[in-house]
Amino acid sequence: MSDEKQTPRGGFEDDEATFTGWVNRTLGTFVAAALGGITLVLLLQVLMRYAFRSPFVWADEVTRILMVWLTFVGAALAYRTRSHIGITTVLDAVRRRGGHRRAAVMNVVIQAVVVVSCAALLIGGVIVLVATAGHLTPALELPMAVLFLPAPLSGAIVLASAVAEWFGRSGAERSAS
Amino acid sequence: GTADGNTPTTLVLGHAWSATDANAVAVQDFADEIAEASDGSLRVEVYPSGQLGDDAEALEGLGLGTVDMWVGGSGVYSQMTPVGQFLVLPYLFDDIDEAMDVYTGDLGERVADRITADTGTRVVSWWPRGARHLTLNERATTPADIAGLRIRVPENPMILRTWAELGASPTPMAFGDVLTALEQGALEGQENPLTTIDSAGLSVAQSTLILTGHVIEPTAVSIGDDAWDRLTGEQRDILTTAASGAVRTGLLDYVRSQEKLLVDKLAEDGMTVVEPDRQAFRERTASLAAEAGPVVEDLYRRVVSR
Amino acid sequence: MTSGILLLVVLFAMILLGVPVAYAFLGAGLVFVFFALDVPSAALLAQTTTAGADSIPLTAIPLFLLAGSLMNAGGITRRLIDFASLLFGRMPGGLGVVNIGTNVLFSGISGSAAAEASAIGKAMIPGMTAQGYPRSFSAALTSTASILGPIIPPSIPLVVYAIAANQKIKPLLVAGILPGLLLALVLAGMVVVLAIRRKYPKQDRVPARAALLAVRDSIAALLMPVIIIAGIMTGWFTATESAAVAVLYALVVSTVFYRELNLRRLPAVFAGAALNSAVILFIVAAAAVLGQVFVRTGFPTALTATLGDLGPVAFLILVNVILLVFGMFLESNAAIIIFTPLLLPTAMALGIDPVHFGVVLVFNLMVGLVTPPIGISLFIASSIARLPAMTVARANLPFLTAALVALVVITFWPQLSLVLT
Ligand code: NA
Ligand code: NA
Repeated sequence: MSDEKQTPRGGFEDDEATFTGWVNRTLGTFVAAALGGITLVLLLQVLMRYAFRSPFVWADEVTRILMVWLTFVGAALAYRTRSHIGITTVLDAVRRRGGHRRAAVMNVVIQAVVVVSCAALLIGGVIVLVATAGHLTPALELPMAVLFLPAPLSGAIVLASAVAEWFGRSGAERSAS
Repeated sequence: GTADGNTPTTLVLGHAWSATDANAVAVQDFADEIAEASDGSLRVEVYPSGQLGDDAEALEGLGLGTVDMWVGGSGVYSQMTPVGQFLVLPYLFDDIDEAMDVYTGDLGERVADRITADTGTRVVSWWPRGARHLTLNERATTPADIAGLRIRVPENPMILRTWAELGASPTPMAFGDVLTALEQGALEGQENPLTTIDSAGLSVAQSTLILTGHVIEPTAVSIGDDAWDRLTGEQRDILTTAASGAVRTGLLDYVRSQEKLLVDKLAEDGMTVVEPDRQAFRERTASLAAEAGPVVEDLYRRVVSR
Repeated sequence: MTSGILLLVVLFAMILLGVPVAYAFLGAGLVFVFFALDVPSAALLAQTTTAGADSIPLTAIPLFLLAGSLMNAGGITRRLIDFASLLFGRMPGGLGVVNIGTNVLFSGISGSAAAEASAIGKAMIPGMTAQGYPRSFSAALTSTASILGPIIPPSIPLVVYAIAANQKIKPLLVAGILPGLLLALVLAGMVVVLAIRRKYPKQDRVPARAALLAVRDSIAALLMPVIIIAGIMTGWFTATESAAVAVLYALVVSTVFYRELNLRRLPAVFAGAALNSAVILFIVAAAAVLGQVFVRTGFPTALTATLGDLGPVAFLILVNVILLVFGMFLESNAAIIIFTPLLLPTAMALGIDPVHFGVVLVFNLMVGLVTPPIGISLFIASSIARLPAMTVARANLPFLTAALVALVVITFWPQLSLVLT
């Protein structure tokens, strides 16, 4: 987590042929499709409104649903590719002065905040899904889950990734020693 | 907070009106009255302007227990229960007094009971809100005159169906975008109560006010089951009494007087006021109640045959 | 009041520690909901973040980011910069002035600073860097100039204010025009001064024949803002749809006209833009939690209750200070929704025009978008420049100063906002 952390790289499409690379490419394809979908729906809406004078009643709703998926699935991908924005000035300074133990402690706290937040998104998301079961979206009258699934899903992906990363790292440390 | 008589019980109430809106003032009066009637043992903390989320979000919050009370247009219930669609059925009532007679009577109670059974929230009172009318840049007196016109509607399945049935092109859109879209010609019209038409300054973008009065949607004063369970019997009485007392009567007087005053004001602002053939609009939309399912149809018949 | 301050301290500590900003919002919000409020904390978190992302106006952010990526990958950006260099390249700080001019043009298209910083940052920062400007300077200027987007109409925050304040929307939008142009002038002045003092490179004179060729080559690129502005003016499409049209136009021009974009690269361009968007959108979604929690601590109410006794001048100064401080921490739409109902009644009682007050409030909060610790425009510009946010923040001090000078003028000269309304 150095300056690199400030930089959404978007370079996951070149990731190696590992399971991690496959997951990232899959998530990347998904968010790319969501963004493509948003663009397409809005363009279709312009066309329908002017060429055929008959706008889609579902256009707004589909766009908003895709935005939620883009946000949460993209956030999980951003975690996996270390693309989230943060202020690492202090952490970098601690590292530069050789405080590796202190930097490691800071990293554990950072990781803890992320993990607790994502656990809350997962648990809270499931609570919301249960509470809104049977509720319908206004225009398409779809199950409300289309709107509320992405938040817990994002939490779950990040939690799984954090666990996998932790085991991966301790495995690497074992084989290195 | 517990209700042991020492610690006051606090209810968190959210609504989407800005604090100066007449509905918001009524909500604040309601909260003040409760504080007074309970000697401070029951407090309602009001958060206006959608601070706790927009209407749909705050209403969901009641079910989740993140918000205790919500006051707003009852059509939002459409996303939770079929009975919600009844609340925005077109041409159920001729005027606001007739609507309030029905909602303060047995039928209002029946609808509220159904909501309690279906949603994890309960409506403690129905408040009045002015009828929704249509604005356009042209005259229109019959459904044929609005064929194909792009009319902005809120995201509500029944209101969408109403305008589709009338032959228009209903376009759901966030209210914040409406004025710009009207000025740009991306929309031909919109529909709202007169208070909204006036406060949003729609007269600058629309030449004609058509008094369709197509729907009178009551305001729901709602509380979540979790919050309701926290209250003592005495506190529940205080709450329901305040919700259906002087505040509601005052609001009804206000809405009634505004209905006349605002038509004059909008005419002064340059809008042409048109009295449409309401019967023609009513007939075109008469089948909607039956299409909305047995619950809505049953309620509809009770209103029509009273 | 105390819990509100405590919330800010916890948040600030998390961010300084290096917790990604979005997760710091969630974490600090969660701690507070859990300990200070009597509501289900996890459910509140999940519901509020979802509602925060569930927004039509926000679509402008990913779409303009995508348009920016396509413009870069397809050679449109390069031609825009070539053309602008012909006009301003011989001036001191020429490309900096071009950056501001492009921002003014773009602000007629976009209503949000984040969208503006994305599109113009992607276009201008690599170009300015290639011509010898320090990356930190280019990123800093891009971030501050991006706040023209929501000041000059159309404007998402001014619409949010209009709704929160129960005011008519059109006068508020019009009121932003002159303050926006003032900001552009002040920033351009600062660029020229800095360029002379720091001896930033000028470009070589371009021979007439080459200049003509460059102009001809850039016509398709220059038509992009023209088409979008004309589209909005004539009502062909709404502000949100204009972003989608920008994507389509960029796609057609770069594949059909300039033929620099290989269609096989397209999925990667979309995925990259989607990832960059999600980073920003997730911050906005997480900020919704913080806004909710902050309101419920009662801190804003307590703060503004003490402001009523002041005169109009002292009130405006204090309001500016308060908003600048909170603008540093809060997401701007959340801040508008929180502060408008609290401050506006006092402002109106003191005889301050609600339209003027809206411009001051929004301008002020937009300044918060370019200041650490939390500034969306700052983050976007620094991530495009691949620099730490603090490095860009330091380089931004002159432009921040210029923006504050403009803020003072706008605050104490109401007619500048009101004369066109
Ligand atoms: Na703008
Ligand atoms: Na800031």
